[in-house]
Amino acid sequence: MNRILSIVKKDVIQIFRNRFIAVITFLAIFVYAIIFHVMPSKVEEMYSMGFYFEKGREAVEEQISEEEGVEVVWADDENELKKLVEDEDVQVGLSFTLLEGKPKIVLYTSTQTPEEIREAGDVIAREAAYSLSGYPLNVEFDEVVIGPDLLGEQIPFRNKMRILFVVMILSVEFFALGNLISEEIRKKTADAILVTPVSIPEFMTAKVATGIFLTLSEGILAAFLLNIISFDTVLPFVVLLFLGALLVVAVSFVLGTISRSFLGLTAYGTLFMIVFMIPTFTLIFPGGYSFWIKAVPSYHLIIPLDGIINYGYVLSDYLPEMAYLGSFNIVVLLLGLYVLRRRLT
Amino acid sequence: MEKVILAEKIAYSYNKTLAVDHISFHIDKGEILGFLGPNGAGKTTTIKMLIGLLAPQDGKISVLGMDTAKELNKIQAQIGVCFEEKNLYEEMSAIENLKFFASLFGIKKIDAAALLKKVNLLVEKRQKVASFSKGMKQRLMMARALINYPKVLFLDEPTDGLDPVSARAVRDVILEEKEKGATIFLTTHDMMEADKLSDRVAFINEGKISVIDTPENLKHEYGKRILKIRYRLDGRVEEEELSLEDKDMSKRIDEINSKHSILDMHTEEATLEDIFIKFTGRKLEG
Repeated sequence: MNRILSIVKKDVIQIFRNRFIAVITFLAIFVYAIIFHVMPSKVEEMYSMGFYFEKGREAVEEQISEEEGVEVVWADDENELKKLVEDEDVQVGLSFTLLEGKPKIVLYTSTQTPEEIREAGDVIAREAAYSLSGYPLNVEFDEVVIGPDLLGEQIPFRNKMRILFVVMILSVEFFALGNLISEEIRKKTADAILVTPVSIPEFMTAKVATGIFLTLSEGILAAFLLNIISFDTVLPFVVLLFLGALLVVAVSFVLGTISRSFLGLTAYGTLFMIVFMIPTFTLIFPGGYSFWIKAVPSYHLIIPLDGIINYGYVLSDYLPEMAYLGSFNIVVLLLGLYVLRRRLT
Repeated sequence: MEKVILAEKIAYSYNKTLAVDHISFHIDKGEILGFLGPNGAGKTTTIKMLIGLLAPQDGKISVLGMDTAKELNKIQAQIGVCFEEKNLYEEMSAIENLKFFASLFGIKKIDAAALLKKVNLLVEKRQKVASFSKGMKQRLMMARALINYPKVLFLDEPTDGLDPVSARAVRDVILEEKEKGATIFLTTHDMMEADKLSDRVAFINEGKISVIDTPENLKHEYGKRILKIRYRLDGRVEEEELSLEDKDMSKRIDEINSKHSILDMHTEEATLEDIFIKFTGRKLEG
């Protein structure tokens, strides 16, 4: 046990004395933390609309003003409405005028108005047109939210980004641990250790311990800086982080053993990093992904992390994901240990 | 005499290339065995089998009376190894390197300063190894090999490529350890070093040991002692070799001296390299 601890201690010193590794590790953590804190912490749920009615404002003013989730600004003329949109005081403007006795509705949007807001304005304009013309749609419309209704407590974009940041921080360990193993083999320092009473299993256990210790420490530091840890999430987060750390260690064993130089390690490591990052985009762009993403092991880390951290789910809601990730980790770790053992003997 | 290292018909192949071909030898307690051979002869593979980094594919090795296949950890606790490669942790200081390796042997208190003083590195003890010259690294490797006060030392090309000062320092440490009673297995392709340090030498070539004996015996048995005479003949410098065993040698010297002007004359002993070439048909270096 003491021999394993000695190697772990040496490994940690060695990793952080490599300036490149030390810089990318801490830079990643602190830069992501800064980005997180700079991003908006609340979702703007109010939809601001400007209205101008040439006639009949009194008839609709009360109804429109009571519309939920809409901040209404009244304009006294069409030019004032255009100015409101141009200055981005409102997201869209609706003008109701009479042209040769026929009602005319114009929807004003600026070039900065997002497409979904523009479309929403269009729907509101059409609905208003039916109402004003005295022919409301003969349809009963109900809105039912399946799952927690997040109206008023929507997840800010930065909270989704936190998961991406955590996975990126974990992925940096590919380089740190991979390089550590690769150097031990290339520089034959592993030989120097293995002619002492240290056995190959002890040597490999020390490397696994170093990888898990570093990845967990960095993940927990990042969690504090990214406001992830709370009383409710600390335990599930650490459990998931442990599975993530094991995944990183397992892949690093393979990378470190097959890489013949730091350049090779960087190339392989970047490739794995990109593949592991892909599932995080399913959080940022929901719905826009292919079925094969579920085969990427990090998907089964990212989905539970997002659910637990952002939506208050619990670990038991993600048992299949954890089982898949755990099985993958065991298979890759065994493969990594096998190839490393072959290189050492 | 106690046989501290005993190798019996050991063999090792890389894929289908036989690197070590069923060789047998032993080393007595307190003895230095010089393992001489050119690059690729099988020296490093042999040392790797002796220290447990490779398991012999055939044959048996015992070190300090223990079988390497069964009691490797116990053996490794009592041996010191100095590798050919400078496999030190370069981002760590000299003293950190020594303390780390001491901890692997379970040594809690180590007089690292005394070891560094022995190899003339005390002043540089807190310097990162990355800033060391090749000679300094080699001396630190020697200090590392001594960290557990080993009974047996395995030294793989310990002075290869070193400046004369560093080579001398390493040789002094080897002789000092021999004085203390350590048994030493030394691989080298430097015949001068082998001659100076070894009690016996073994010639290895293409995985086989050609001969094992003391340098003196080998020179006496297989070498040729000669006298070289250079003299002036019609304005040219001529050179002639006379065997010291030749009964007519003095007669021939008188003859040259009477007819020509002798410039110089000196005796020459056969070198280990001459004998190696005689056995293997190959030069030691390269």
